[in-house]
Order: sequence, then C-alpha cells, then structure tokens
Amino acid sequence: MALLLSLAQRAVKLAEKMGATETEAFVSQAVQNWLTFHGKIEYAKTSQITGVGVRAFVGKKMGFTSSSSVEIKDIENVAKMAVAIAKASPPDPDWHSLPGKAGKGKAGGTFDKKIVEIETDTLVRKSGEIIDSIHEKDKRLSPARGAMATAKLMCAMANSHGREFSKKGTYALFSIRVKAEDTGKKGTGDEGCETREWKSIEFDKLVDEASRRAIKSLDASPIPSTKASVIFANDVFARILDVMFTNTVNAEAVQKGRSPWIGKIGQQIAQEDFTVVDDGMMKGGMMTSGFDDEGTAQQRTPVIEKGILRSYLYDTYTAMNAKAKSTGNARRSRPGASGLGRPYARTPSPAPTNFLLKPGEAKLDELIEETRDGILVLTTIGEWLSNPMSGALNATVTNGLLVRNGELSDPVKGVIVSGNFFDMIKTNIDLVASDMRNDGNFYSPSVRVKEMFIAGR
Amino acid sequence: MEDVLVRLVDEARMLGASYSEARFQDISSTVLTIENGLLKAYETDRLRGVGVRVLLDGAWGSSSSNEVDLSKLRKSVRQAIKLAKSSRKRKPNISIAGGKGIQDKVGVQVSVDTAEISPEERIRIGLEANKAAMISDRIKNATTRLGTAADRRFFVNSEGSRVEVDSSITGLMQLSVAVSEGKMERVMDNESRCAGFEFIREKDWRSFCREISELALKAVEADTPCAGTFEVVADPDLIGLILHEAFGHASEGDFVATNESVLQGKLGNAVASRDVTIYDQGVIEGGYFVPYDDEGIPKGQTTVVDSGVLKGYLQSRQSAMQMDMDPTGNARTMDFENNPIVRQTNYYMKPQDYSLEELAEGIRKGYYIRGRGAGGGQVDVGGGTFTFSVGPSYVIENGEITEMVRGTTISGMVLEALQTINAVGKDLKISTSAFGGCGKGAQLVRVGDGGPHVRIGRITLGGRA
Repeated sequence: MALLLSLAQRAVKLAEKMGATETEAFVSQAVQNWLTFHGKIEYAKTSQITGVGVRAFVGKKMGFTSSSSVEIKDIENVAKMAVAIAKASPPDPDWHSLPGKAGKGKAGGTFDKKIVEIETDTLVRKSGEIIDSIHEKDKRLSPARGAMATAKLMCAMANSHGREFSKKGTYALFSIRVKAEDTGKKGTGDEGCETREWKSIEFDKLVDEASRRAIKSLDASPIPSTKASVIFANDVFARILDVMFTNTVNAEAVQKGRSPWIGKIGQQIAQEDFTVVDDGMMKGGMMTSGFDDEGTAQQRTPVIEKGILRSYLYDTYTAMNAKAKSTGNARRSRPGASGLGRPYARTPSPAPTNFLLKPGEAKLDELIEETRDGILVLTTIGEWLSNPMSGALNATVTNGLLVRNGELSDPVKGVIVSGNFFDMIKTNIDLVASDMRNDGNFYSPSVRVKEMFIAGR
Repeated sequence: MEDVLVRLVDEARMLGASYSEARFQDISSTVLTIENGLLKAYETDRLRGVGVRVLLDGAWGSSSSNEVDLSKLRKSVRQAIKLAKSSRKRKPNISIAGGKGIQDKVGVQVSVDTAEISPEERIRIGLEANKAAMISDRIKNATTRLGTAADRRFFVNSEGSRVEVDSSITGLMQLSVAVSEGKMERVMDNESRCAGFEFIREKDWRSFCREISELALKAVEADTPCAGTFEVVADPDLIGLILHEAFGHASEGDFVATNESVLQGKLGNAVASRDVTIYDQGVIEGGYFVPYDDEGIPKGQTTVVDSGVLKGYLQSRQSAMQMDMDPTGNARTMDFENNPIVRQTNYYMKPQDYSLEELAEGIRKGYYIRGRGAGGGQVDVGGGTFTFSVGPSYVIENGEITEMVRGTTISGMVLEALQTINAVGKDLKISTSAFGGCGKGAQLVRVGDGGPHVRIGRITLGGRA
C-alpha cells in the first residue's frame, strides 16, 4: 500500500514539474484467482495487474493518461502525455479545482483475510464437491458451468492539494448453472452471488436452488400474450433498479441534460412505500469503502424518501458545479471478483455505491398467496436493454413460474414482461417483500407489480 | 519480446507441461468524450502484459502479469504449473486438437497510423462532430466519442507457433437525447472500421451526428409498438445482432461440447429455413480483424448453416478435441489476463435475391425493425431463449412501410426463429464497433456481424398493451 501511494505521489510531482497547475494520480493493484468448471475442472487462473492514471490540469484544461507499466520512466511518460493533452485541450469553463485534504473514512467490513489466504487447492476441492453433489441429487441433473473467484483490490491516490488516501478490499464470487435433461427435453437453472467475504457464500443453498430451477424449466414454454401480475424476485428487481437509476440519478447526467429526474427534487416520483438509499457505509456492502475513488469519505445518502426524490449522487466536480457537497460517489470502475476492472485507467464520475430499496413486511410466499393470476420471474435476460430515459422496461423471462389462485404452477420461458418503469413505481407496485438480496451493488426485496403486459405467443 | 516468450514456453516444458503457450499483448487506446460542446475527457491508455497457459497431466493452469521482464514472468510460469497441479487432482483429462506450428505476421491495412495523430486534430474532429448534433434546443444532450485502439498480439507455443497480429480499429459514436412534452428518448449509434486514422479523416461525421439527432427528435414523438408476435423485416444491422444472439452463441463449441447448447446433437439437421446460410469469417470488409485466434489457429471461413442445415460449430482446440472435430480458429481472449474461450468472429448471413420492397410486400400487419440505435442482446443457450433491442423502427401495413415507432425489445427461441425466415434480401452489410463488444465468461471481445435485409415470419415484440 505504501508503495502504491509513493508511486502516486511521484506521478503528481512529475506532472507538476512538467507544467501542470493541478494533478491527481491514482494507482491500483488487483490480484485475482479464478476457477471454472463444468462436469470437470475447466481451468485455474491467477492474474495480477498494476497501473497508474494521471489527471493533469493546466488551468481549466485537463488531460488524462494511464498505463499498466509503472517503472519510473513509464510514470514519467504518463505524466508528460497527460500534461501535453491538457495543453492541447480547450478549457472547461465549469472546472473549479481538485478537492483539498481528505476527511476521515469510517466504513468497515471491506477486507476479508480468508479471501486472501484461500489456495487454489481449496477452490478445486470445493468445486469437486459441488460437481458430485449435483450428480447425486437427481440423475437428470449435471453441472453445465460454474465459476469461483476471489480477488483483492488495493488503491492509492494523491493530488496537488495534499489529499491522499489508500484503501483495500476483497471480493468473492460464485456462480452455477445446472442443466437438466429428460427424454429429449432440456432445461437450465442459474444461481450465484457476489460478496465481500468468503464465509457468506451459501454454496449448498445456491446449488439446490439452481437444480430446482433446472428441473422446473424442462417443461417451460411461452404462454399466450396477456396482462397479469408480475412478481419480480429480489435479485431480478435489483438489476432493474441498476438499469433504471445508475446512469440517471447521478448529478452528471442531470447537469448534462440526460436524465429524466432533472428538476424533480422534492417531487413525488414514486409511491409512498418506495424508499431508496445510497449507503456507502453499509457493513460488508459490495461498494462499501471508507473513501470513494477521489478520496472523499463515503456516506449514507437518502435518494428517494417515501416516494419523494431527495438527492442526486455527486462527485467533487458535479458538487462544485451545483454549489453542493460531494456525496462520496466518485467512481472509476465497478469492482467485483468477476472483473476488478482497472480503476486506474478511468477518470472518476459519480455513480451509486450500495443502492438499496427499502424492504416491506411480507414474505415472498405471501406475495404468491395474494396473487390470483400472475407470473413469478426468477431469472431474466436482456433487462439491461431497458430504457432509463423513457422508462420503457422490457425483460425476457428465462425462468418463471405461473401463479394461479395463490399457488405456483406451470413453468414459463421466452416471454417479455413489458411496462413503463416510471408509471410502475408511481402507482403499480402493490406489495413489497422483506427478503433483501443483492445483484452486485444493488439491493432489493422481491416486489409485486399489480399488472404488466406479458408478450408471448 | 519473442525470445522472452520462447524461453517461458520452454521453461514450462521443463517443469513438466505437455503443452505451453505465452501471449504478449500491447494495446494503446485513446478515447475522447465530448458532451454538449465541451471536451469532457481525453483519455489515453496503454495496457501491456503476458499471459502464460500450461497443460500438465490433462489440467490447465494459467497466470498473467503486467510486468514483462523475464525474471517476473518466470514466476508466472511457476504459478501456472502450480495451479495445473492443483487442478489435476480432480482428473480433468483435458487434451487439445490440432498441433501444427505456424509462423506468420499479419496486420490491418493502415495508411495513417493513429499514433501519429496530434491531440489537436482529434479534438477538432470530435468538437465539430458534436456541434453538428446540436440541431435543436430539444436535443438536451449530445455526446460524441472518438476512439482509436491499436492491439498488438504476439503468440508463441511449445509446438513452434509464432504468430503476430496487429489489429487497429477507429470509430466515432454519437448519443443524442431528445425531449418533447415531458417525454425523453435517446438514440445511439457508432461507425467503426479496422483501419488507420484515414477512416476518421475521410468520413463526414457532421452528417452522421446530425442524422442521429434527427432520428432522436422523431423517435421521441413516436408511439411504442404494440406488444405481441408479428411478421417483421429486419435490416442488415439488426440481422447481424439476431444471428449473433439467436444462433451464434448456441453454435459455440464449448457450449455444445458440454451438452449445454440447444444445438447439441443437431449436426445435419434442418435448424433454419432453406433460405438461410450462415458463415463465421475472420477477415471481411466492415468486420473486426481476426486472421488468427489466440491459440494461433488461422480463422478462415466456417460454414455454420448451409441452406438451413447445421453444418458445423465454432471450435477452440479443446472443444474440437472433445467433439472429435477440427479447430476453427475461434478461441479468443479479451486480453493477456484471460484464457482463450470459444467466441464468434464475424458472424453473418449470405444474401439471396429480394429487394426491401419485395420483402415488405408480403406483410399485412407487422414491423420493419432497424438496428440503428439498438443496444445489444443476450441469449440463454441452454433454455434457448434470446433477446435483443431494436432502434426506432417502422410499422408495415398491407405491404407498405409507414410511420415510425420507438425502439423496443424483441425475443424468441433459438430453434424456432430462423425456421420462420421466409425471404432473404440481396444486399450485404457487415459492421463492428470500436466501443464495446460481446461479453461471455467475464470477457469482452470485439466482434462483427451483419447480413442482408431478411423477412422473419414470427418474432415477439415487447411494447405497449
């Protein structure tokens, strides 16, 4: 960590010497272990990548350069290039300055020693157990594809105004796809999770659920087009929240005119039981950290309170523009064990940390019991193709179950659930469950939408 | 670098590997982002490193590092050996097909090297293009990205292969956001080419960006299409995406070898209508440049479907061995940090003889669905469901292409969609993108796709009730 910080400090000094009036340097190092398997172990992999990114300013003109080579001569080149680009660039009239000295970051639960210590032998043994257990469950089942990954990410930053910080975090991932085959029919079931600590991965439970879904899906088919209630499983709705808010609720989108939430602060944009918070300090959260990616302490920001839009998410630049305070949402890339990304290679911009929809009181079973005619959506594809500007929400169901008179019935796949998300959160969500779950850094309970269009045969 | 790679490969052999390979990669990329007339970011990046993969007693181990001096890389070799020794305890029994050493060096035809282009010229072109998109005060956001990337890969293996490939890609992307009476709509498109900076200099980007804004202004006023199942005509931009999602992934040999794909066991069967012929081809005008894959295997033209009959799968050396077939040059990696897995290169449909008017003629009530402004797609290869988005499109009524509708989402079943194709056009367009690619197994690679205009009998649209 001290080494990374000293690289950053050196890069700042070099850029200043070359004529930068303000400089910020960010260094990151990622170490990742991967194991993939199907019926057998596929491969084991380890990788390490270090890099440096420099934002250099000449007055209000900015240049950015990054490199995965971090020898002194390389850092010199990076600094030189960043300053040259800044000099060639037109000024940004909205630029104020880089932030001053950092405050104190307080969040915990971001580093799990166990993850760093895990050997590939352990991953191989665990995968072997999982492969065997799937075969033992039901002769129609076999593992189609699985992955386990552990990762450690370390970052350090320094700037011309004396702000400096370093942070480290761990990540783990498990995903499993089980296939089922029976007299010419095929089906698959998926499950998985991303966490910050190894022991919170519930392998058996996830494998059981993927297996159950695979068996169910053997008989799945599209249904005729209809209108019906839709129950979104918690992790599916978490992904929908991601699609609908990540690129629109940040202050940059608002200031640049590409958000439907422009001018809506203080307005009722959702029904009363719809409360959303961006919690950068949540214990063990996927994006929990003492500091954001420009060294501002992360915090808890109410975004939507009882349906009223309360705040956008700010980094330093957008906060200075709006004469507001940074909410600690500067991000360079979204880390996770599946790809730590290379945060050093990106300039920061505002993005959600841990984005949570407040849970309700009901159990998922009660949502099902209360439904006369509907569909329980367990997995989807293409939900990320929905349109956060117009609110058009479309998700193709790959694993779903019909709900008839309060009971789960036939499996469904290949239909599109369609609706307008803006209308949906205003008037159309009639039940919110208590079962919180995450997909990446988005956390949601299962919800029931009173009525949506289901496009099918 | 070649000497270093050869030494690594030899060292792995000495440590017990039956096969070993080393992949060096050096990517230089520059992306300018201009938003509403302001240069928001000018970012340059250089990514360099080596990945080592070894096969030992039927088990893979691999390791990578951004530190490229010999002593550090020898540590990578020992790591890879150690991982293979861990994996072999579960007896994976992996072996690979092929095995002929190949020496070659190929690159994209470049007239103007992007490394020689000044920041001033890039900034000027980007700002002018962005300004041209701001055609109305109802365009609330115009974002332009100008990108260039040079991707140099050097592959060495223990069978004597030495393959060097230089891929260079340049392109420009435009996003325009339009508003009208409280409604908001976005349209996004890019044009990219495997070429040098001459491609950027020669094209009229101002017209390109203006057109995207005009499309956004029209789309925001348009209605959402009716949800349901319809007969449609898909344009070449979209048919590429349909093939890639609806069929391409399911034809990837790793999914087939593990019996995960719905296309497993279907060789020689009719999987599409007789009008459909599909190729995967490494080098083609308009596509991404993949003359060799990342196992050093030449990527020629693979016939996947011939007149409706499934003829072959896309293979890596490992999947080919599992199925007792030949490698097809489809093992690709995102970068040196990753292992090669089976990927498409340029996946496209062979044209036949219909004009667009003739394709529309046969439709009483349906849609002319367009790729411009589409955002991509996804497939569940096991369940056989696919989906993708379409850009602003048009209604077809009694054979006439009439009013515009907003973009939406489409879905269908892999084994059915291509069966209902009942007419194939005579045009052909293949395209790729400098801004993104196709994701699989946490790896993103650049691909190309395309085809002619095509009429599809039944496809499901999401939209309004």
